[in-house]
Amino acid sequence: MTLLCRLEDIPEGGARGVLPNARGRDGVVLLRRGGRVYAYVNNCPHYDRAPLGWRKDAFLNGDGTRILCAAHGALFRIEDGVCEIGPCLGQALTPVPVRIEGGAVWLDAPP
Amino acid sequence: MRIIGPDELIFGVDNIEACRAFLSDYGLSESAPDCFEALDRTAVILRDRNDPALPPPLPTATRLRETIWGVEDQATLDAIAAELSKDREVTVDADGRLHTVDDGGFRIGFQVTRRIVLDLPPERINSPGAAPGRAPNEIGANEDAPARPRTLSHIVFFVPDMDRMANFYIDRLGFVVTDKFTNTGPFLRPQANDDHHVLFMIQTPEYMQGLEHLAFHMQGPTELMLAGSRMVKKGYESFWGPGRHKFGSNWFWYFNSPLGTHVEYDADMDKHDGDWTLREVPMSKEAAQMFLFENVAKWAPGGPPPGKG
Repeated sequence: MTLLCRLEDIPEGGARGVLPNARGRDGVVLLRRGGRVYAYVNNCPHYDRAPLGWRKDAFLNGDGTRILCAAHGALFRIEDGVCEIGPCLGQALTPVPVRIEGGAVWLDAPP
Repeated sequence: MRIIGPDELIFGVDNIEACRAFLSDYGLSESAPDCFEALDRTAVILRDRNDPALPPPLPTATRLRETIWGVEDQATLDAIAAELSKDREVTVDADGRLHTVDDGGFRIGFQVTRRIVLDLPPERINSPGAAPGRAPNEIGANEDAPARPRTLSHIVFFVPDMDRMANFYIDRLGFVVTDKFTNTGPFLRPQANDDHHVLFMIQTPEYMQGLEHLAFHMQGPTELMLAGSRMVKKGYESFWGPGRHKFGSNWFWYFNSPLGTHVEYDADMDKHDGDWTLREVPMSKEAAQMFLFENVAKWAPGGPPPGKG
């Protein structure tokens, strides 16, 4: 298992990018809601090389209720990654299996 | 029609603080509340998405509400009003600006341009066999140089009906096609601007309709690299670039943005006049760029590897 971050590193209701590649781009987006952490590959279904955020750890719309793709404004549901509006309508973000253990978030398998 | 280019892009957003920070860091100046200007006063304007003064949004994800085109003079405004009033409603606001809808369904406006004529130095380079661009002892690499967008260069739309959209700008507003990607869209310039393009469009399904990107011209390739590097250093997400396009020849560097559209730095775009014959090729990775780089962490050559010395 790979350690992604401490649970406390993700603000409640917020997001955090983890698992940076050699270029410094975070490979996985973590979202914390209540006792749960949702994890998705940091890539819009729109292109094969389209990171979602606009700045380090900035992945959410104004009121924090959706994941925003900062390429063209697509909005994705946090609980299942489904695109509700935008260029990827009807598609979904790729989920990443994670588990919370000992106050930390772990990658269950390679994304 | 003496149209110069896009003067203002008006956005309705739900994350105005993030957008303010982005546009400031990108290099625009907040000349009035939420009006972010380039050096020639062309601007991106932010409004809260629920602002009742805004035109209604498209039923898609795009946050762009209106594109205001700058024209040379009142006579041009009058001519546009007369032409477009033939088949659509054209309103005139208190400032004398026209507002209507184009044939792609995008809200557009026209005003006597807000831009000022710039008189600024170009990027100066030393090139063997040519007169030096810089005087002796004049240094080219200045990390502290300001890197300020000079003018709003161009906009690119996702459009459901490329031909209908393009023909509106060509037939009704006098835009000229400079080049074309077959089955993608044409590069268009208006009559009062010799830049290779101020408008480009990409054919997409209806649910994608919106602004694909906006771009500002920088002084030259070096300033573009400096500005983009500063954005990366501040944690912003590079999307595509730096590189150099083929059609238009402009250097480019695109970033994701909280405005829900790509925002590009560009530099050194081709100029064209009526003697130019348009080129047409299929859209491809090869056709889209001459070369493409990616920003990486800085490095310096040194001695032996760590632990061996």
